[in-house]
Amino acid sequence: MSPFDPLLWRLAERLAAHITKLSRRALDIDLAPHSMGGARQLLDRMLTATERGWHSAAEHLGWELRTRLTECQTKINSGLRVLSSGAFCQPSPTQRLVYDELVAVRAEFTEFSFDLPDETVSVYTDEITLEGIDLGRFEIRLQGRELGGTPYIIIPESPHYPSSRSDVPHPHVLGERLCEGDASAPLAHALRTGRFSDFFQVIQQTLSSYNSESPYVSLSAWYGVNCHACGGHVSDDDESYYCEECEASVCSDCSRSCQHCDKSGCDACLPNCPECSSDCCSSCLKRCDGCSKLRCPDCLTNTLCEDCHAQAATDQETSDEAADEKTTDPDTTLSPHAPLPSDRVGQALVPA
Amino acid sequence: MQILYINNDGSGFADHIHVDDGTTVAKLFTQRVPHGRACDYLIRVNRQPATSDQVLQPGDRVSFTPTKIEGA
Repeated sequence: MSPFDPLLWRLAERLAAHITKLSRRALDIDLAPHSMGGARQLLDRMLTATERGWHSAAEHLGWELRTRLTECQTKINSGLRVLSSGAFCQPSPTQRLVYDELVAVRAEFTEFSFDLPDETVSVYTDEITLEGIDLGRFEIRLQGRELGGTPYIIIPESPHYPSSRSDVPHPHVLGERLCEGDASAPLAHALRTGRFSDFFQVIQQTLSSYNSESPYVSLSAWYGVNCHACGGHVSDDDESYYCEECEASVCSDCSRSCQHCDKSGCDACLPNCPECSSDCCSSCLKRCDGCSKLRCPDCLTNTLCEDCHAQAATDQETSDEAADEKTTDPDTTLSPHAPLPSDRVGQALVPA
Repeated sequence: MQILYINNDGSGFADHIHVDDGTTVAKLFTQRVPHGRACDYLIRVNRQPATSDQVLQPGDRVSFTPTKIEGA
């Protein structure tokens, strides 16, 4: 038997007092005597109005009566909920019971500590490994002053966060809050009756279990990353979906490759060619010498985009016509042996 | 005799129940959790781990806590 601990005894007193106060608050049932009295008066007036043939007044009083009875019904239902929870027949825990519970918690867990001024009790779980993934140890901290609100928090000792989120140290813990699931009712009852050994045990078992249907981050995705483009899961070893430009991982649906050099990348790094909409990396996209617009290699002719190329051809044609007017021998320009410009712009001169 | 029985599976209520004299932990488990396996539960008597053949005494506090409780 462990020696008597006076500080733990004082903490037990405070925790028992908090629970007792909460129990009284839970049993504060409003039976609404004023509402019921008012409803009785309305009913009498409505009957009188009906007997005297004051149908309009009777109708109005009937509406008021319905409203008042609905209020009463709401309060009665609230009271029934409290009573059906069984809170009325559960005695508040004594200081002795809470002390024994805390002593049991201290014996159950390898690490136990408490802070009397802060009214907190902390235990550490064993190393938790779920489906081969080591999540480390967790501190379960009961906050005595928060018994009516957030009575406990979960703190990872050395967090093993998933690669996609830094606020989920466990599949069922977000920040410092456990999403209780099936543990919700046992925890509520354990706290209400001061059964702290059950309380800490239930949390430890919940942290040691995995529900694959509703985790914040599934264990299968724990060591993966989210797709840079759509947020979907991408496994770490899927190198084919790695953006060579920005080094982000992308899923198969968001992965693209440059049609000119086969470089793989994400949406941001592989913009479409504004002309033909083909996937083209930033290295292969070139500016038109004429208008500076970006185009893929297929849409550039001698460093000119389609519009500038056409304009150049027109300019060349105009220039040639002007030259023709000055030429004494027009056959010279029409000669099949006349030299073509190096970029072959002059080919457009063939008559339609 | 009466004991305090706590089932942390489901609602987690604590109830005073009547059991026959000489009832063991294993027998109580079979009665209360007929479809469960003892290896899937932490079984405590008076907050201490108990053996299956431990005979219950009046006023004992018996708790069954599932080893697997699914969070959400």
